[in-house]
Amino acid sequence: MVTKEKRIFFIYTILIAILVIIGFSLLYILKSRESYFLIVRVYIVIEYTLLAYFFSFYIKSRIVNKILFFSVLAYFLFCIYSYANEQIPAMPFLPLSVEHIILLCFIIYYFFEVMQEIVLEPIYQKAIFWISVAFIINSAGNFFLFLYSKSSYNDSHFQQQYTIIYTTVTVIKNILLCISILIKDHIEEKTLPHTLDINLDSFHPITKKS
Amino acid sequence: MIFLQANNNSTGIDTAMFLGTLGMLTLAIAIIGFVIFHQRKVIRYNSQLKKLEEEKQQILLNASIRFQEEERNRIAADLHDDAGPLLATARLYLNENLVNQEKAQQLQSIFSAKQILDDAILLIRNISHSLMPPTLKNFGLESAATDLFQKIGASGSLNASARFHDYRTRLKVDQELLVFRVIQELVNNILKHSNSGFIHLTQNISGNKMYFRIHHDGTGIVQADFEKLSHSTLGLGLKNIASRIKVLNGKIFFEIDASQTYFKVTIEIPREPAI
Repeated sequence: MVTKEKRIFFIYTILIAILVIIGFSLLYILKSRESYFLIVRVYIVIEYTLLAYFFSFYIKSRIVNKILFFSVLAYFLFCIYSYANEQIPAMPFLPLSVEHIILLCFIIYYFFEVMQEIVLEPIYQKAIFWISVAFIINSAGNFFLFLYSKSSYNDSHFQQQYTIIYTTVTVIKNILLCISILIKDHIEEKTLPHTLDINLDSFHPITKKS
Repeated sequence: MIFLQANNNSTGIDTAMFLGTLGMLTLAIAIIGFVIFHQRKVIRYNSQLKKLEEEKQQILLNASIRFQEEERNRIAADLHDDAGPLLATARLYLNENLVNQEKAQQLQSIFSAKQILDDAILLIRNISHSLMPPTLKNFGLESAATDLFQKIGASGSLNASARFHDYRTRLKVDQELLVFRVIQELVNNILKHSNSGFIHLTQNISGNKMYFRIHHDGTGIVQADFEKLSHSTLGLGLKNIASRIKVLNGKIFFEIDASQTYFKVTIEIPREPAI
């Protein structure tokens, strides 16, 4: 069954694929680095928006969902601010680091909610688990990389390490996302509350005589 | 020298980045592992609970079958031991020699046979009433319960009363019968085991639920005892109560009052008004 969440994830993959094609075309065919960096900025904003929207379906807390919604706006404004303040066009490493750390926080919160639930089937039988694992590994693996890239990207030795780590993490992420596609979600069984809250003291039949 | 410094600086950054990335990945994997481990524990616990619930269901089912068999045996014994001899005696009075007897003797025999047949009719009626009380069938649960408590009170051994606060809409016939049987069983248990001085039934409604509460000041049980007895091989009556409550989709609570002076049994059932 195709759910709304799966549709959003499908849109996310299609948009990302289109942006990657456009980005590489600008970089390698038109040789325009400035346009490529701009596309990367658009890419990260769209990626974060769609991922936040996707996780909002799974996070049950209303407050956290509101925070998720406002974080999209805040992140968008932060990306514009970062772009406006940049003197030389470069890769937006700081917005990338911020995106990954926010995503990490929300995924950890999602896992916290999962642990509160009473379940009858293991979490790894659900696609959302593999998607979350993919993004938690991607964010954890790339966070320090992007953070240090802002100051050391021009170093050739660093670039070599950057390529190795980034490629490895991205490959793992994509494998995990492929696994998530293969998972068939089951319909959850609803559990009934065991306790009953009643107060019958309002109709006590006997008034004890002293 | 400058080159060396730059190189050292670069290596330091590389190491910091490498360690940071490794640390973050370890943290992420640890979180994932912990979530999976915790979930497995929860699932194991839930499956154990499910197994226990299934076992309980099985015990209740067995108890209900046993109770049905005991009820059949009791009726068979009543019919065989009481109704059978009565009818056989009546047959003796009405044998073929009756025509050869004197008129006065004939009248005497017919009168005795009539009396025995009346007794047999009364006995069969009592058996039938114990199976399905006519008050319950004709006038509903309120009348049947009030009648039951009046009869107990009339015996003079203890003070018994019933009060229905809101029973303007009758329950479905099936529900009424099940509730009446549960009340009957509880009252029987109280009379047999509690040695109480009073017994009182109250009824009320709240939302789409109906509540019945029995109070008594004798020796009673609390919820933990009820659960224990329902799971054991003892307490057939309690198992029967539990299975009837289950059929009603209701709940039952055995408690002791905060003052520790009397016990309360509360029954909660969904309201399904008779059409």
